[in-house]
Amino acid sequence: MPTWSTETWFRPISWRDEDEAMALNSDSTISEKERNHIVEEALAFAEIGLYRYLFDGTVLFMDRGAMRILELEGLYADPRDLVGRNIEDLLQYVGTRGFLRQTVREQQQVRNLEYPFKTLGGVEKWALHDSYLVTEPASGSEAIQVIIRDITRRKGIELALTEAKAQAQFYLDLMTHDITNFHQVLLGNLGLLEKSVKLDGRQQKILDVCCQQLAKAGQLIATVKGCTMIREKAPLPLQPVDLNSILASSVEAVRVLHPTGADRVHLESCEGMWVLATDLLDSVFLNLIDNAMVHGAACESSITISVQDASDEEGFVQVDVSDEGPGVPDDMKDQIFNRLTRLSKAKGSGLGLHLVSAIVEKIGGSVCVLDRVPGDFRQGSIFRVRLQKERG
Amino acid sequence: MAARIFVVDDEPALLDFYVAALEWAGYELFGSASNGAEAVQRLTSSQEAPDLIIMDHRMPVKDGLEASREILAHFPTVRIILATADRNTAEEAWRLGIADFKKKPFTLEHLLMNIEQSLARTLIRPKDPGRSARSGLSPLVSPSSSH
Repeated sequence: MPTWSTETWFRPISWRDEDEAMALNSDSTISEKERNHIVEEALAFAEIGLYRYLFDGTVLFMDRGAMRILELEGLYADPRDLVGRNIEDLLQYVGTRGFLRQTVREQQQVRNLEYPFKTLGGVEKWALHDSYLVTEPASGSEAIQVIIRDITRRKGIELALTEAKAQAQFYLDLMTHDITNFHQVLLGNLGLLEKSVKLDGRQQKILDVCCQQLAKAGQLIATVKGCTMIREKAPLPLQPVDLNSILASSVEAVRVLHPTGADRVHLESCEGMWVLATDLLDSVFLNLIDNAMVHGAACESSITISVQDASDEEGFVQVDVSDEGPGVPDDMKDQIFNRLTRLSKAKGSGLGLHLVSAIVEKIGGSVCVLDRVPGDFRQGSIFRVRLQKERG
Repeated sequence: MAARIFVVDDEPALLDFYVAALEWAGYELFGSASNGAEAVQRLTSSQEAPDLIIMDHRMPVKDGLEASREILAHFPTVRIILATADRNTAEEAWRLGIADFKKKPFTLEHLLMNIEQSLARTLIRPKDPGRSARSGLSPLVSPSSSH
């Protein structure tokens, strides 16, 4: 445990420029009084302060920086006026009282403790504490030495950012929901129109284009939502999801996107299969099947979606999206899930497979690409997605 | 006897679409409501239950899951299709015993297929099997009045 000395005063202070602090400490051309004055000025400027008090709360020392942070300057003219007063009478605690003292006693120090408090005038503020157990040389009493930083401004910015993010999420959510409803009305009514009126080839084509564009807009909404959610640092809450329902709706969406190739997609039913996922799983299969449709368009490749238990990993299922398209060369197999990597001159943002990979990893699964015929990539690919099985 | 279907959605254009689609497919419209509370009020004050309910989830006053819970407490055998843009409700819907979960947007054909599958569990069929067959669905067995 350090004793109180000039060295103790300077050592724990994390200055921006530690070399400068060291130089100041070792400069013998200036007196200790001058040095203390320089330090105090610097601390006040940097919104840093120092104070020290006994475990019963009696203040032994407080500098002007700490006075300024606690907003005591209007109440006390000189820092020496605070000596002998109780720290609990100099600020209003918002959090738990006594935590700091107990922890310092047990652990010798407490670093980077952020806590809210109110000044005696009732102003709400935030402080960052570094506190150390020290021994006062004169009496040998144990005391707590505190370096206090005013972080009220930073906390205000953090709070504003959190609120702005929540607001942006709210608007995104609202927009996604309402636009999806508009799409539903349009898609449904176009379907009714198709059933109610006998269309000639040209009219049918116009109607297909309308449905296709609606499906693309839906895909874009899902992509934006996916991109937003995979950026979250916190893990996504997983819940049981009916895999068959997800695959069926993805196939349905792809068929709308590619009306002339709708019969190229074959889904092998997997009723009763539940996995742990989020509603982003739609985007995974929509992107994979769409990708197979786009790249296999020239050769009218057929696409099969099948599900089975993962043979080499208990508790997982694997979904294979198998196509007979141009395939993925070996040197591209690892890169294909990187952001903005494109296999051919096909249109698109290059986000699709990256999004697939990011979502699947975020929900505790994996995705890889294999040759449909081992060793011969030209005969098509299998995109294999592994997902956690729901054990309930 | 045509299956009787009740629809709930706060978007008037969607309600209109459901009504037109059901009429086209040969189902009987049991009624409609523009939010969950209205649906609960109308159905629980009725002596009879519809065969199936198409229910939106995110609605003012009372959401689709809450309304479904109350309706199922009153009519335990009624089939409900929860139609929503929010798949996060799927697990709770499944726990409640909701017949099916439909993520928006969906095509007319898929909606009709889901209705038929849900009704199949209670052996209720639309009165005009030909139209469902045209929509790419499997041929229907004879209409039943077992409900």
